Amino acid sequence: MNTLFAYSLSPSSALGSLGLLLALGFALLGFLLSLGGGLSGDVRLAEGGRRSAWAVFLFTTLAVLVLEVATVRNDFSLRYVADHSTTLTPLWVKLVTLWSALAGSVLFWAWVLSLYTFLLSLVARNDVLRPWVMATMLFNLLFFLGINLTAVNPFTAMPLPPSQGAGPNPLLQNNAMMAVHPVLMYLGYVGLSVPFAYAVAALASGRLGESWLVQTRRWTLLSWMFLSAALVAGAFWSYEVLGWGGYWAWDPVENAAFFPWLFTTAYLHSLQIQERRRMLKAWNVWLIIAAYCSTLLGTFLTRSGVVESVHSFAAGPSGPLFLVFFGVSTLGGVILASWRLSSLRDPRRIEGVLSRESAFLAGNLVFVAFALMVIGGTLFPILVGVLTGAQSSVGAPFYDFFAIPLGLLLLALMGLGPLLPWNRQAKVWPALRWPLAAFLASLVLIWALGVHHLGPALTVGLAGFNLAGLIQLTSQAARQRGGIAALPGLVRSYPRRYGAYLAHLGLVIVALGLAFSGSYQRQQTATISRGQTAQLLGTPVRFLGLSQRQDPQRQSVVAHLVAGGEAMNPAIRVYGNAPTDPVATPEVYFRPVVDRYLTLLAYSGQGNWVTVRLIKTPLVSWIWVGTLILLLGTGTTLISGKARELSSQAASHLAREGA
Amino acid sequence: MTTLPAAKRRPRGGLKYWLGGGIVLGALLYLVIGHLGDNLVFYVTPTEYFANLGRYQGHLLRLGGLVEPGTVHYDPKTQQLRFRMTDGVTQVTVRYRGGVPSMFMPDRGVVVQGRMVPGSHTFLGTQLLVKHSQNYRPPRPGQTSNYGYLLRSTQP
Repeated sequence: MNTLFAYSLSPSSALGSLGLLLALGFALLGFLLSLGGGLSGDVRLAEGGRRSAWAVFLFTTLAVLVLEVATVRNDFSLRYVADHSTTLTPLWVKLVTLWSALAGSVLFWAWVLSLYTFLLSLVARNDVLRPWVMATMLFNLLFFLGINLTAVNPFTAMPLPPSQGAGPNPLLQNNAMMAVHPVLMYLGYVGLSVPFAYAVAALASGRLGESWLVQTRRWTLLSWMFLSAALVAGAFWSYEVLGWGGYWAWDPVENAAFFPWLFTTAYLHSLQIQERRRMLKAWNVWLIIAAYCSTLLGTFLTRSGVVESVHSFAAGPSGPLFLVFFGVSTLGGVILASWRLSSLRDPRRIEGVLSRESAFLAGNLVFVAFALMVIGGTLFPILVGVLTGAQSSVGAPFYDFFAIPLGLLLLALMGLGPLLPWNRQAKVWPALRWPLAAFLASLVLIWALGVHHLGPALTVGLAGFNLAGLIQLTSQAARQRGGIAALPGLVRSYPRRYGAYLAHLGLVIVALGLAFSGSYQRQQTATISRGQTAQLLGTPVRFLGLSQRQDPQRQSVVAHLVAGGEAMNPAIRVYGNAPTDPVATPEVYFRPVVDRYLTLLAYSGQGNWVTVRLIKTPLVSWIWVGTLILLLGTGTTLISGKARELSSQAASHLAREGA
Repeated sequence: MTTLPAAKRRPRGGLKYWLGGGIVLGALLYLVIGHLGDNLVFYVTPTEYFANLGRYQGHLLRLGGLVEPGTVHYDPKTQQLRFRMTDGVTQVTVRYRGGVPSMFMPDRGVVVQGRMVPGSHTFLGTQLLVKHSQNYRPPRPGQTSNYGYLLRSTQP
């Protein structure tokens, strides 16, 4: 801390630290004012708290800008810049250096959190909840800004600045996804603090009605969108860069992003039951607490080194602090919830077994069970370590064992839910007839076509079930409005419903991609002499020769091959700042049906031979395309419809209540 | 909250539901725990393996150590690789078939996933992972390697 304001040593360090310190001061002030406003109901206090959030955002932004400018200008008087950048680093890599290592990533986290707090302070409804929401957000900020100034400070000065920095990890500068995936991840992760803040506000103020849910639906959907995009962008990155032809390995770091997604997906569905049927109030609060706290657990896991992972951050002094913050938030949430929710009773119970709410509830239970299993598998090695002292990890077969059946169950419920009516014990057979026929037809067809793995075959069957259901629902609605021409109008009137259908369609496509790429990947490795052709997986692969390429920051050896008539040029790159760590750079040809993926594994110095691995994976691109459709659908649900849908629902509820 | 009428007690199904739920949950838990144990991959150095045979024998392992210089035999035609791995104390012969990443070099850290041939010092690898950071310091003779660090800096 004695170097905090060593202006003569490093102006960047002093300015950045000053920004963080002021942000911390305003966060503390704002937290106390908001808390006071919430407790006393004094509008002036609450207003002061709200405006403090603007100052917090301003000064955190200043700190981020200082770090960005220092990186771009090669200011090695900052330890962070000296450790993670070089003068030769391309500009785009310099710009993303902010989140490529521990200290900067925590600063970026704090900045995203301050951004969300700022936006909330502008758009949050002026009600009893607002001061509590601001207090919760600012409390979060206190923690992140606090550890940024102490345990993981990106503004630590270097007493003797080196003339050249150590530079970024080679893997991180090898693909542009590095600029995209972490940003999406943080926007999603941090965004979940908004519904959590509203849940805390609802609990603290005792206003547990639908108001907090209605206000957080968009925030949650937005975070969920970012989280979904981030998960798939990470998978895409893994596929494009790492050269193993896969995209998901059940690594603890991947799991840490996945279980909050599961909790949030469950919440997005169960909040509809509360909106429509005013049930599951307590369940919703618990779900959002679980979703948010699981992001903190994930942060702790990826930043403390307690679990062995191929791509976690270096273990730093911040690990125990994250654990403490996870503990405080979880305990706080649990205590608040058990105190308030014990007095809560839902006015209704689920009546029909075959009703939409029971399908939603069943889906919820599956999502939660799924999340708990993933958390269990991720934490189990810690238990083993504590009990026996051995280091271990849980292999992918454990996860596949439950992920495949649970995933299929979710796919079935996803198709079933929209077909069933709310509440009523009406006849459901007419609605299910065609979808069930489609299920059987697609199952028989795909079996006849030679797909005899149960997982992919059932996925195709359930995809047929889902598609038939969605087509039936849409065409029925269109017919009532007078034909297919009415469809755009329908979508405009009910963006939530048709957005959800589109999102489901996207998920069906993703599910097919996952099922087939997971079951039917094939690979073969061969060493080929120059001018020779080898048969790999039935494709002739000819090796033409090697070439070299020199860039300022790296050197590449490129192998020129022709695979099945197409030129493919996989490379091995060596970055100047890590000469002993070559990075394989596969060449991937994305295809609608089977991707072709070629990795250069080894080569002789004279260019006489190369060892290459050819990987053929079916339907991988369906995952990327399906995700885009999913995001488009989710985006559609964010549009305000003609509020009629909800108000007419509410009116009919009231009418029935009165009767 | 005070103005609300007293909440009605929900009718409870009673003991049989709890019992049924308990049995289902128990069965599920048993299945999961059993499966977890079978699917554990242990991270060990050769010395740790031989110091605790009872625990590690027969399990899937990620064996970590250094590639001993002068012991690497690789035939690019058949893709057969054989080398000796050392952690400073114990040596193990590793056999592996497949492409060898360009990062695989003598005196560098390496992690091989596979199984030990029982009662021998031979390890049959199925997957080769090579260390991926310049920060890793090789262990000095007599000192076992820092496995956690080795693994964290390793990339498939």
